[in-house]
Amino acid sequence: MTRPSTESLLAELARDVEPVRPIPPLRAGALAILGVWGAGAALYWSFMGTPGLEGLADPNRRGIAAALAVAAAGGLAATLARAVPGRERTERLGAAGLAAGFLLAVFAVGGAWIATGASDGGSPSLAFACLGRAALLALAPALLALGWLVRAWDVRPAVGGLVASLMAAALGALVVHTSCAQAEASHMLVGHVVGPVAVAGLLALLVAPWLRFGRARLRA
Amino acid sequence: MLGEREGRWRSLMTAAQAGDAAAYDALLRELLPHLRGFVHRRLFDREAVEDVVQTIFLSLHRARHTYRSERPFGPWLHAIARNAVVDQLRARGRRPQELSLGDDGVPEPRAPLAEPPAEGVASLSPELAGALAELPSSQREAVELIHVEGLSVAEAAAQVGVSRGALKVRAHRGYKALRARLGRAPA
Repeated sequence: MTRPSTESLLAELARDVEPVRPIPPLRAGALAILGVWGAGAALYWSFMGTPGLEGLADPNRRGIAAALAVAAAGGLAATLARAVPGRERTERLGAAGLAAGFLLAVFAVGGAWIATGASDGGSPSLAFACLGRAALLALAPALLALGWLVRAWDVRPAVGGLVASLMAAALGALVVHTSCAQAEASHMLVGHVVGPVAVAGLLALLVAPWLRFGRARLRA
Repeated sequence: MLGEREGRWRSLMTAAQAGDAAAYDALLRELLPHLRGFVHRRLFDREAVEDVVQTIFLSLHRARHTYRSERPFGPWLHAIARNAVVDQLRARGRRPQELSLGDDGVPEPRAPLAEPPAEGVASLSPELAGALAELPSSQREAVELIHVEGLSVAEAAAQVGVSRGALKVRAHRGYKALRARLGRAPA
């Protein structure tokens, strides 16, 4: 098969060019995701209250909250930057923040575990209730971020889906953490940190074919 | 001059996003020699260069909605181009011993290119062009971009997709190797 010359390819591309709507600025994407998350959080706090905020006097609980905020901010930057060629540095920094945030959260839970002692016996059902709420709160930001990625230029859509899911999980877990009065380390580990990470992994697996399809459509 | 070129590409791309076929045609034709040089600095054979250049243009066409006019055009373009080069190297399944990884994780050929990569190199003395061709591709690219094509360190770093510091290190190593090859003691 003879390959068309590059010059004729260029002529063809120019002939077929149609107007396109440029992707919104990353700031607008961030505001949209944070807006949806904020609305969900406000609704949740209005029903559930914020007893967790009082618990933030405890340095370990405060550490978990800060770490989740770092993970969410990093994940948000990484997700949005993946959409645009040439923003690799922002993406790498964001991904590092996302990973570091979750790692710090695990360390902070470890600190809480040492503080409360090994005999700590958090109720598994309460932990799963927190995990379910965190997943629900993560859903809207996750869908928005994934929708952003579908329109994006992402060379590895499955990785993009995982980053977006982890970002949304951190946002959801942060709201739940500030509303939960449970101070047991095992509860926080399952309900606020590791559980949301696992749910994000599952969501990423589920949406990977959709993102791949979106990318294939852009390439078609 | 480079800032002028960047500004022109930016305005042509913005017009192309609005559906201006003439502006898009002009942009693509201006980019062609630039991208050929970019790819040639990273790949061995001419046949593959043309394939990758075509892939880059197709990717650029499909990703044109991701460009925003307030952002510089060069880094956007070169990210697409770099990705196509990496894809090509992966698709060819090159044996690991043929490649080494650059500072940016992009595989680079160890052997010199079969022919001069960019139009600017042709103006060099044969001795210097020969010594340049023997450099590892990451160093050769840094030296060419700064001293043959006349880009600033920041512009060259954006084109290659590495930090300014990493580019300076590559260029420094390249100069040192060139001086050694040309029989002068390194400064």
